[in-house]
Amino acid sequence: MAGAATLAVAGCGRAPFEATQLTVAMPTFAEGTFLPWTGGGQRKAFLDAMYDYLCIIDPATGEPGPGLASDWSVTSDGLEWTFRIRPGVQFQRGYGEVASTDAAFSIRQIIRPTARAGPSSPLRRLIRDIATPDPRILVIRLTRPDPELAKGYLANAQQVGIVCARHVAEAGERAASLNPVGSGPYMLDFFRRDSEIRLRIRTDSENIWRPRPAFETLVFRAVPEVSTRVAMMKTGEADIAPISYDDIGDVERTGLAVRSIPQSWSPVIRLGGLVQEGGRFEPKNPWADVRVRQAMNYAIDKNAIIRRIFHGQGRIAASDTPVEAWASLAPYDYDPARAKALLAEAGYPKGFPVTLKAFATTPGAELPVVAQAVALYWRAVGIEVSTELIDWTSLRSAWTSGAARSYVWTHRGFPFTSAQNGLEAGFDARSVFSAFSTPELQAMLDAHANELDPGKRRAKLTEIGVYLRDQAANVFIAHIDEPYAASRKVGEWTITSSNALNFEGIQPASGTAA
Amino acid sequence: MMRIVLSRVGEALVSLLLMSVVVFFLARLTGDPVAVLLGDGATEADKQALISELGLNRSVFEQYFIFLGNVLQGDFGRSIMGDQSPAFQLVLERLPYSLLLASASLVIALGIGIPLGVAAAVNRGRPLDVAARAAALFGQSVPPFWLGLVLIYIFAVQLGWARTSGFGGLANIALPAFTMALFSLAAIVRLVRGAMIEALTSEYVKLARAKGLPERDVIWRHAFRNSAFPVITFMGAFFATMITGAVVIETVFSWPGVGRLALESILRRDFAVIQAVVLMITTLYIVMNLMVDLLYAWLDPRVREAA
Amino acid sequence: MTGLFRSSIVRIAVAVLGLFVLAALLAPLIAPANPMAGSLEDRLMPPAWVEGGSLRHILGADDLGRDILSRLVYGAQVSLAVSALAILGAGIIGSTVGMIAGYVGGWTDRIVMRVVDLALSFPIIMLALLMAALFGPSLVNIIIVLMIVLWSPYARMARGETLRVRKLDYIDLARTAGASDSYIIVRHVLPNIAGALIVLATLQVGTVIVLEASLSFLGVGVPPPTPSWGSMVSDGRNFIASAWWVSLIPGLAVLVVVMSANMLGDALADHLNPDRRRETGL
Repeated sequence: MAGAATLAVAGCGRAPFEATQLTVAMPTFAEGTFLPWTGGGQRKAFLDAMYDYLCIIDPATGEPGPGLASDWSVTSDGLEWTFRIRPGVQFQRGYGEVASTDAAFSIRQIIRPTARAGPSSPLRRLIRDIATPDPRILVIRLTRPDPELAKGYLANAQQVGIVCARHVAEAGERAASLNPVGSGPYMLDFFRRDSEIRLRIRTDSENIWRPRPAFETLVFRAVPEVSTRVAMMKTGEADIAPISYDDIGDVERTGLAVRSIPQSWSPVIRLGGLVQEGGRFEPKNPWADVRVRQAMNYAIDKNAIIRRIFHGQGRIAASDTPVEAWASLAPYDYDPARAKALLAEAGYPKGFPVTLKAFATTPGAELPVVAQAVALYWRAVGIEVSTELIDWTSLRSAWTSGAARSYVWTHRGFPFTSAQNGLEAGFDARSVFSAFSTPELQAMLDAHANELDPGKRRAKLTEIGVYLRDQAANVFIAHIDEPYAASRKVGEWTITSSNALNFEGIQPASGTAA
Repeated sequence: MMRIVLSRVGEALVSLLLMSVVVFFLARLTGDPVAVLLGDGATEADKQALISELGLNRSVFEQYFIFLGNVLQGDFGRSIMGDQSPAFQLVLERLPYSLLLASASLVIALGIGIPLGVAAAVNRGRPLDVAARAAALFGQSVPPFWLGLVLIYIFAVQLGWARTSGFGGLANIALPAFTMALFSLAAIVRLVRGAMIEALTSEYVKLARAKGLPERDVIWRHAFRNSAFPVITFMGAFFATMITGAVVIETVFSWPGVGRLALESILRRDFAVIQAVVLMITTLYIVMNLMVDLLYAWLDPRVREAA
Repeated sequence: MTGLFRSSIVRIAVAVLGLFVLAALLAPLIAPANPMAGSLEDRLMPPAWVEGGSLRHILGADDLGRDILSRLVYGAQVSLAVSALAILGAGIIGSTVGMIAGYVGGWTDRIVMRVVDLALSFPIIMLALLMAALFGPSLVNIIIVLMIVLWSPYARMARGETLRVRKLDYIDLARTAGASDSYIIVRHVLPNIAGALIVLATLQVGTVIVLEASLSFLGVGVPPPTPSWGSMVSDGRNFIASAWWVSLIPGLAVLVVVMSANMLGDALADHLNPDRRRETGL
């Protein structure tokens, strides 16, 4: 016990105000590792401050601009990309200048078989080989044309942070993970697993090439309970925290600001057994009939869900990812009478039994509640819903193995910077997470992927959106904003959708300058 | 005395061995480790290589003995998460925090529970007694997560006396330790009160009073000394309650202990870590009970003489 | 037993428990609405006497607009049935095992007591989580988990009592008269220890309901939308500051029932044997 007791340090009362420190309370650190390829995208909250990406998405246009790559070009067949690495960018801890070999190393790690980063699996299929003919030149050759490689996979919205290859080789991967070397403005200063991450401005701060951050220290605290995070905001123990939609009013009344990430995620009900390939098809399900799927969409008052559960923080949608070309797509209205008629027409006038499985994610803690709400609406048109809670690990293995054929489940869609990536993940029969696929759709997807002309691409994309909507491929609900509480310390903060939280770019509010 | 020690230690070792069997088979049941360990891009050859690397192609009994052998060398296998740290190391990292929280709770439970129980017994039937019993009943009826959130709201948000969460100083540990302690505290009040009432009406206390000893001596030196045994007996149970409560309390107060590690590893099917956590906790519990048994034997003259 | 009911505390406790059991049995008659159905328009509506409340939901509505009063009475069915079944099952298993161990003695006794130790030392919540991970959360699994948690104290107590009873003269008499072991256990040992077991059972009611709530908090409790008091308190925890009624009302029900059961248990213990109080303190 004596050993344990020495861990305690003196502390008292409220946190003293420190303008140079910004504390972010987040639900989880996920894998809690510091190399881009050893975990998922939730870690971007802290990794983005430590690593640079080849491209940086312009928040205004959504198009990629120069990052570690100063410029790039793609061959007219869309198969070969050449990136020129920005000269003079220094790695932290004196590891020298960033070279094309570091970028090549980082991409190769992301696509190695054991990597678990989000884009690992599609990138593995996409990349044929990587070459570094010159320390400044990176050449990536693809297995099929992708005119959106930079935007979709290599920009700061994704997970390919550039790591110092020499450091990983010298220190070994495990040590490098706890003592990482990137070229970003912050360095890892302290880490306590599932508890605290402290980042500090790099010691050679003259080598920061990005806009200089305003806060000397960024502290991340893992706080799973949302009520506790709200309490931390109220006491001043945290400056930024994702909160629940029900807390928005309460938080605003206490004088804190609420900033929302626009269209951060999308609650959606996936219907099992709709992938017509690889033993994942189940034609006996009532919802194998398109009329039943449409009925399942018409039955739900999606606007009521947005208004009451999400407190208006979202827009009704006919897709699970915000794609500009689909913005004008009319979603299914709330029309229970039509739902009943469609069910009767399909031969289910008295409904049918279905199991709806739900799990909570981050963001997406509301998914079990959404599931209950959906169940209420479905029961109202005669569908006998039984709901079940499930954990993501079980569902993931059922989904990817094709076992999830006879039930439906809540899931969330993400904003993809490249719509094509979203389609490949969710609707391509080759993807393990495909939720709906027909030969017809597959042909449309392939045609879109192989089309290089921007105007025609857009037309094909719109066509796909209409098809997914008309087929009621999923029960699409809404694109939802994600609310963050922000303390008075937080001034200008540019947040865009597509996973870029940009904590490192937050400016202090005027009057509390660092 | 030596015989008692040896037989108790032997019993503890048997319990641990049984536990290792239970843990091994439970973890095996939780899912296919190969599917969980491999990335999405793995081939059939990768799969076969991993199966033989993990020894999953051997018989279950062989697997168990290999597991046991490894465990005795402190090797519980690797976590499937991120950088695949050794499971044992992950548990060791968290253990000091859990022990700190459990000890603080035990101190609170005993420090408040014993005096309150004694005071209730001495003032039997008076308002203090009624209040203490009501408080004890409350402590055993309130779900810990709910109590924790209410305490955060009152003491951290409204009054500003304590920190909401996280590891740090006294202000950080106060609320989780109290929340964790309350259930055991309530049990201690009831135990001590019951035992004290019995002791205070016994012959030897009457005798001590008759001898004219000051009331304080009568209460603490004579009556309480004999009432302490039930508290010692249940010490192991208190400890178990605290470790169990840890999963919930560490989540509410984001305390970096083994409870959250257990929760997260179960949700991720990280079976090496599950095994390490469960075995570590049961070992602690069994050792704690062993110490209680031995302490009891040492304190209780009847047991000591019988040996 | 007649003397027991002279105490006003016992009368109140029995009346409260009876009231809740009655409410649970008559749930379909009492509940003004379907406990599983709600309307998002009524989401988080306060109780009737609070500003913004309405007689439509006398005790308010939860985060899905479901009527809290209806969920409370139907939840009583679930919570009380889960407690009763888990405690009954644990009591039967535990006391049978304990009586056999105490009566037979020797190696049987030693092994049984090791298993009891093991059951006491296993981190319960982790077992519940593992079970949920293995079989998915369900009412049956929760009852099984609770039984695994609860049986060992009965075994301990039954064994101790049996050891004491076995030495009594009339048991020897019965044995010499040629009575079989099982006959002796059922006819002579069991009646002797029944009181103590019943006391333990009443005292476990609190443990069960609170534990069920904790399981709900961790996402492995009574699966939604079935109402149970534990899951209601757990679902309402995010609204402690903004919509207190969602968690406080079922919380009060838990408090009242658990306190009544404990008071009854205490009184029973006092009545049966004042000396045994300290052994049942938990």
